[in-house]
Amino acid sequence: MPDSAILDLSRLREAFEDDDAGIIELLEMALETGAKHVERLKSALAEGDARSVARAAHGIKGSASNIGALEVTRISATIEDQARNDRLDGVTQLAAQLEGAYAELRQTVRDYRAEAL
Amino acid sequence: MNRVMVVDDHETNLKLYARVVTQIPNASSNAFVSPKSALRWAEINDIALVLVDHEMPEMSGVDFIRAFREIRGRHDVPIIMITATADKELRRTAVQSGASAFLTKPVDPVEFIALAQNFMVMHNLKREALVRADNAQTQVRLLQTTVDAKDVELIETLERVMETRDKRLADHCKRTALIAEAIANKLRLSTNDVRMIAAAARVHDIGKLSVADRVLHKPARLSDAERRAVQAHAAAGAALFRERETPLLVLAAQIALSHHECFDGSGYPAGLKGEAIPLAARVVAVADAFSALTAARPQRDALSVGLALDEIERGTGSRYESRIVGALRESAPEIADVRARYPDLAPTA
Repeated sequence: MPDSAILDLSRLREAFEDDDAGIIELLEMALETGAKHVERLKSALAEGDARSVARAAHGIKGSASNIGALEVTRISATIEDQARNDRLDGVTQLAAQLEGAYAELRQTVRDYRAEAL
Repeated sequence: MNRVMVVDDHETNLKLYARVVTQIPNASSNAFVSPKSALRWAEINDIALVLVDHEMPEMSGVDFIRAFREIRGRHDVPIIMITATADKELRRTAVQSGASAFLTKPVDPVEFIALAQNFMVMHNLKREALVRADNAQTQVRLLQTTVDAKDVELIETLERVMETRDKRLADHCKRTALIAEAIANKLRLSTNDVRMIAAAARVHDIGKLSVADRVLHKPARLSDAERRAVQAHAAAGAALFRERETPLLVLAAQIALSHHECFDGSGYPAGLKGEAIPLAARVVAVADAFSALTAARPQRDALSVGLALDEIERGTGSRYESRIVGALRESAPEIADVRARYPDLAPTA
């Protein structure tokens, strides 16, 4: 499974000592909790609550960066930045991009599972 | 096994950090989504290292660290705080609150392992050193302060010598020692110090055996030469313990030598003043005076307890230290007991 622009596995490989099954389990867990956090972000956005949007984006950014989910990290960082500056107008579009990035990540993890296990 | 506490509201982070901890030798992790429950757990479980996220909805990492540091025995546990950005101001606050180091997300596993391992080694070494220092201190204290059984035997033998030669003197010494013990207790000296004073005071007047009976028991006013002969009993008593180096015998010598020193410097043999007089000797001075006043002497009758206390009260601040006189006053029950056990015999004169 080669690293891609979506997922950088180098750190997880170090953390899990190349245990593919462990890495995949963690990634699937990240996808599941990630979906919850995206929902939280979207409802905060619907309420126009910039602070909550920033906090949710910050959380997503942190755990996404830890697992090497590059695209999710990048987009959530942008959302956090804009929400902290109280600029929610572009965030709706970014949230859609974020969901897209998660979909790509999900596909990448699926491919990884098919290849490795 | 070294416990590593991991606190993060994101479960994937927890799972990841916990996995990295498995790579550290002799370490196991305890993961918490809730910082509050982590704090409760920390109250009853020993922890070798803490890894805590900063941005958590329930409580910030900085607040967690502050609360953690308040827990008994957790003030020096190393804490690594994880932040999403290298925010300088936040880190400064975190350090002031007790953070030991930082990692930035994405957390580099190798960096984390190295940091965690070093912190745990240092922490354990520090703990061991503290325990060792503590043991050494206890050991030294025991060595310094244990009342040697052989020394006590020697004091008992000397006591018997006194009894054979002068029963009233021996009884006076016993009363003095028991009253000194009561005073030392009231002064809240350590149990060991109390034991030492009580044992050493039993021979505080032994030097009187070197004073001629006709001078010691003279029913009339003493000449200057006779007074000097009586006063020499202090140095004579101390001389018996010359070159003895065990704590109890050194103290016995101190007490014998200095129990006639006065708080204002007007006593003998050295005219020592205030705290220059060993505490044990200051205590025995008051006990000795009380025992002597409540016993009959060739020149006068025994004083009642009340009158003897009043007499000593008059010497407070000049002859005697006031807090010691206060402690004597508080010792009424012990005094009654001592007088019952060792009643003053009628003077032989």
